[in-house]
Amino acid sequence: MHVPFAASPAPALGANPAVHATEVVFFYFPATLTPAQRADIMASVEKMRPVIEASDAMGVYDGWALEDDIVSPLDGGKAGEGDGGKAGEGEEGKEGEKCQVFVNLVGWASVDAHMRFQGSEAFGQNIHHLLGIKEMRGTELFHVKLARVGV
Amino acid sequence: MGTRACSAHKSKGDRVDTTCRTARQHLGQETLLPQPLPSPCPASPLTAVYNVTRRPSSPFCVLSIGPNRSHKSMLPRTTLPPSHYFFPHSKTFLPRRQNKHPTVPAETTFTPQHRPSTLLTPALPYRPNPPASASMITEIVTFTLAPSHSLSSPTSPASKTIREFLTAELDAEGAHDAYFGAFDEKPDRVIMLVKWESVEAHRRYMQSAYVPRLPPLSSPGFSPAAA
Repeated sequence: MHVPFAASPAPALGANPAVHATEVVFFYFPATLTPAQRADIMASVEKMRPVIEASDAMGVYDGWALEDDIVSPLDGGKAGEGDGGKAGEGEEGKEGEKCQVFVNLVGWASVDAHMRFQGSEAFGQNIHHLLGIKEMRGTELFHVKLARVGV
Repeated sequence: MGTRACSAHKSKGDRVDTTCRTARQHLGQETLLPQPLPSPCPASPLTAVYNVTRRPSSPFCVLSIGPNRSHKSMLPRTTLPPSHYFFPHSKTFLPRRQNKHPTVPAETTFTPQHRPSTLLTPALPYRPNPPASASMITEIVTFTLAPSHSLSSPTSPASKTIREFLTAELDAEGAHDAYFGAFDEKPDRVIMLVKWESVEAHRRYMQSAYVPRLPPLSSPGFSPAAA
């Protein structure tokens, strides 16, 4: 997939030497998602963004994949393979379903730093903005220590 | 306009270096601008001049460059005019150091008979991470490694293969950066990210006469071309 992030996500990918874990989240939506629905989704995302940015996160980058026919790896409503993946309140995704994907990249000093944020009151009080998106088929959440090529 | 060259570039019998704006002004060659014209913003949020000081009672001034100092634990940053982000006089210093260690803080010392503004003019833009343009995209590919492979070590065959594959991709026109790694939660799941100038640049690469194929590291059926 090709994702046009608003700003270069390099700091969250590890170009910032303080980042030792990159949180990668894929949010899956139906391929038939309309621009109006997408705008509503972004309004919900924007409510969560300041909460993340106020935490120890080192860079928050997100964007929609240009493709609208990405094959979903979700299986019968199960949350994604990663740790912490959660399905939305809407219809659960099916494996092989064509999807639009919203990608979120967040840089953390460590996986523990992210877990501490997930256990925080601010996270608990605001995560409903994302989990309440009814069009969401499911999510995948992973942490990865990325290696940069060419350096 | 006279023909006096910028004093920073005076040297015995040497050709005047017109990369210095002051020299160009004096020579009436203001229109000879370096190409590509550097952005007025820092080329990279990670590397910028963050301090220029003149040591008291010292003939030298110290220029500090390095990672973005906006992190709360870092030193205060001095904001300099945009032209101070690039260094025409550092052909022997900045590119070498930045190319090798783009995120390592560095200090250099310039002879101070020239004011810092004389030394710091745009000529050699450093763009390890260019600001996202309207068309810039990140290619994201995920796949599952075959059971016999892992990225547990940087020297593992899979790590080497992926690194070689991405290194070749970075040679393509429009490719900027590449990253890869295995997910902590599923070590056999790999993600590769490549920044491209545009989707078209990536597609041109994929349609070019030679596109290296990732050797069979993945589960059957995977092809980067389909990603």
